[in-house]
Amino acid sequence: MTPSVLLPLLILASSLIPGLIIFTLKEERQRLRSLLNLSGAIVKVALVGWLIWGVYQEQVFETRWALAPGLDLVLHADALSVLFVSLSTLLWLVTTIYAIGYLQHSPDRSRFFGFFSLCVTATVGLAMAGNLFTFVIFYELLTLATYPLVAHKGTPEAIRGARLYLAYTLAGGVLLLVGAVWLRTLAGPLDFSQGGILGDIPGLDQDSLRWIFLLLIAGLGVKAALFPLHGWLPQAMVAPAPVSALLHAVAVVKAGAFGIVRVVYDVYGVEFAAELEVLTPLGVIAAFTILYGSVKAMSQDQLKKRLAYSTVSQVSYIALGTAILGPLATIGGVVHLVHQGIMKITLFFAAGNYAETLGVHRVSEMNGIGRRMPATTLAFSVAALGMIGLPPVAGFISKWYLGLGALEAGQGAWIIPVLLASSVLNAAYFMPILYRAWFLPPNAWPCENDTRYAGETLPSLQWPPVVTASLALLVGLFAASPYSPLEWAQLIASREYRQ
Amino acid sequence: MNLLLLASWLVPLLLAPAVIAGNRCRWLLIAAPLPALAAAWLLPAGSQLSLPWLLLGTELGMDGVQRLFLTFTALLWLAASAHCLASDGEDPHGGRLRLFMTLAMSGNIGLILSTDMISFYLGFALMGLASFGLVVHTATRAARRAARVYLIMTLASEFLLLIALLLIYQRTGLLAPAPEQLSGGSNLEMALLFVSFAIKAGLFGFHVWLPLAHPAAPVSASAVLSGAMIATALVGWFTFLPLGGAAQPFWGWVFVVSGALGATLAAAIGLLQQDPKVILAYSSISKMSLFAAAIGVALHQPAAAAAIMVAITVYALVHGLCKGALFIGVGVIKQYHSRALFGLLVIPAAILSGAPFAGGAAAKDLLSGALDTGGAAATTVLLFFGVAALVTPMLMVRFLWVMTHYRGTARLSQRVTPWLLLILTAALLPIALVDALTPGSALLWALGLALALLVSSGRAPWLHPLSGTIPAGDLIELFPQRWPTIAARVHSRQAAAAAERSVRPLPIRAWIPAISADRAASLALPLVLLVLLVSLWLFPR
Repeated sequence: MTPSVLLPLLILASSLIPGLIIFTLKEERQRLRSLLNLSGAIVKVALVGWLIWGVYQEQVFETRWALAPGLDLVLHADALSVLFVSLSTLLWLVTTIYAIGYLQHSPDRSRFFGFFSLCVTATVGLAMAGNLFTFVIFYELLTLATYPLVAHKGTPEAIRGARLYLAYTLAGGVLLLVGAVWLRTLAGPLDFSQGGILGDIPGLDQDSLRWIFLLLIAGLGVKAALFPLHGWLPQAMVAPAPVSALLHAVAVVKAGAFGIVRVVYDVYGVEFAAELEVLTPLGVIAAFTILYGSVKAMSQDQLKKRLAYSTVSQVSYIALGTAILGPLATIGGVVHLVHQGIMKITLFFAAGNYAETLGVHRVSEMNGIGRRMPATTLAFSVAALGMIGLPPVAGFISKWYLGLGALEAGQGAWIIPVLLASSVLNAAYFMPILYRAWFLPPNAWPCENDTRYAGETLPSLQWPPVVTASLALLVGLFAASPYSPLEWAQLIASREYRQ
Repeated sequence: MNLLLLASWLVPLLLAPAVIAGNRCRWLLIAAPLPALAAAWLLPAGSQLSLPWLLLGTELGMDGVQRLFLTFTALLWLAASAHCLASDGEDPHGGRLRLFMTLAMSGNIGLILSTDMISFYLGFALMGLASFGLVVHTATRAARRAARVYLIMTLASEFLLLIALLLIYQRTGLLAPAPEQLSGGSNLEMALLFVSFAIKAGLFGFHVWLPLAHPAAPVSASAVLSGAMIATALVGWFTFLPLGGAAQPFWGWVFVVSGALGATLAAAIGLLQQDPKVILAYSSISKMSLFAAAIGVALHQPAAAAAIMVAITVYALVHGLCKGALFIGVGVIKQYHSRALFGLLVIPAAILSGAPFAGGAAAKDLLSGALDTGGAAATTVLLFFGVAALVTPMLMVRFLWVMTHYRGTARLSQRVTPWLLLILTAALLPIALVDALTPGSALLWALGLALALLVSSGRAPWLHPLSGTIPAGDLIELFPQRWPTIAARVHSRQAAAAAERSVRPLPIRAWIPAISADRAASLALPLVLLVLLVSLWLFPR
């Protein structure tokens, strides 16, 4: 087997194998478990580095395995998959370190880290899926691997949240599957290809294609938390903080958004989708979700719930960018895939630190928390300002390109006001938090576990948000540099348009 | 050498972590504006620095006008930093104040040196947000309210500016368009530019945050807020308005009318104020409105635009340095027990009011000369310049008269040195910049002075009841006072209901209709979809 065939498999194996071994480990083998986790994560980073280099050189990485005639499992790395794979891999490493610290004294860690690894395997798998069939398989695997993580605490609330999650995502999976099968019977086996494939096949019934589009987007929209399919997300925030972080930034929600990007660009082709007139409804729903999520976020006092609704809103930026025809909007949407991930994971890390160190779960308890936990709060502030879209944090770059894309497509008249309103709303629910945290005098903390730590909290909890916040700052500050997410997004956009 | 341009941006930022850390490093604050000062003095006009890897491609540069802006901005920051260090010994949150000063300084200096719109916007946003920390610093009730109003209006200005920049970029395809490439913008673009910078400038009508925020901040912060930071609106207009391109009569009139009326109204309201810092704030509004009116003339007369821009900048320099000296002076007089200090305070007040043969009068004559191009707009503005020449001395006398009520208790010490140096700079630097000292509108000035002295010496008792009738922030008092009461009422009702559950509701709930139908809505779409699909299968075409 040549490296180009082997590499995608190795990338999957680097988290799958540690995960499977971890399931068999006894609870108290903490050292070995951490070693497996971290070495898997580091090996994956190295392998992905190789993959990035290769794809940059236009090498082809593909693994194909025929299950049945005309039914292939395909792993294929193109520029878009590399973007998502590197995001998941990097953030998985950081989250693993965080989770090891976070769950230091809690039970069932072998189960947790086992499923944690499976979850990332599924995410990376769907990022590299080369056709809709492979994508659906990993998409379902992701659902199943995440359920035990959401339910991890085992409290009635956690079980309820996890059940709701399962009900939503399984139903979404069914819709996706129906859509995929219908498309398969209509158009034959189709590999994802840049620029889309359906536009080239003559004699397809356009109405059927529209229906299939609706099915696919509805199936993906459940995970991407598009209104009105988002109901599970705020409930799933009962999961432990590392899970929420992963769920919101890379794994589940992002998988849905990534799927929408795949379907629009590499199945339908964005130009053909525009011809079918399915993009505008998607754009309208995305725009509505952006506003709806923000409005809901404003009235949440629970920090993680507020962040969850913020995710509902922010992830729809990706769908919005996808729904606008034009390379600049594509850049904005695709780059937000990465930017939102980095910023949101920072926010959830910080929320986890507050809860774990001081027992602070509510916004109203956060008075003066900046003085008690400056590093965490600084990271939180950077990410929050980025969410509002202020430079030089990454979120500004996304907003700039989305705005330009809207103007370029001649849709600025309604999309720019949406972006403006979203910025205002984001400011309205993040600024009061920052004000409380930095400017109000501290109260007594609900439950301070101060004695355990020398610094503001455990180092393995304190550093991950600092690292990701710096990353959010750096990718914004050096957006025009080579190998930045923006440059990758530009590469992707240049390959997705035929004219 | 051109790296000094980048250093002016970066050094304040890099020093930010140092100045919070205790007493040993606090003095580093004074080093923060030095690279900018060095850049203004050492680099020739026309210096450029391209950093294509930074942000979306950063272009730093300094032409003659930017150099003037940089000079007085850096000087003001230097003086304010020095005064801050000399006076914040007992402030328990001094570190926080110094931190936000370095951040705001970096943004303020950075945006002056930025020629591309992204780094300009970065500086604008950084300065605007960091200044929130300056306004709220004292944490009094008034300061918190001022900071809230300030933050809302600043964010509004930033968001609107972003849209304007998007429109400009979309139209020109350039991050750093030249003035002639800016011509031909839509009315929307012009409106957004006008409003977003009008908020920053405190142009009358968009000013409501200013009389609240500038007095609320500590004096060293007020000095830069009122002297340097509001002047960045002028930089913004100079950079992004099509000045020198095709004439824009309509928008010219918008600037002229709002500026001219605003200057007069602001001065009139300022006369009725009782707090010296509020009087100074209204004086700033009045001056910025005049500058906006002058920009209106430049929009009418593209040929005169370059000269008008230079003259405005010189005037802004005089205003900035004097206003800074006055704000710091308020702090100094409230702190020290010395009659001589009051005599010193008169100097910047006199210069600013346009006393003959001083910097203010010379700058005003320079601007009047540049404006004197004929045409209705220019005539209107010159007329209102005359009004301002009458009213400004009255405003300054009112300020000084109010200041006579204050006297500190501390013994005079060398800590006032930064202030003395700033007064010296404010008196001498403008003289070096203009060709000749002129009497200005000496007659109007004397008339204004005489009138004001007459009133304040008690010869016009009918005026006294008016004093204090208009609260600081004027227009904003018309509506928002009711909001907190509604919010408070709803909040207290909710709090009572929620007390048992020990849940603290947020007042924001009062505004948002309770959207709790999440799950119902979530079920609706799949159901509708299912029904549609079934009907599709049952009734094929």
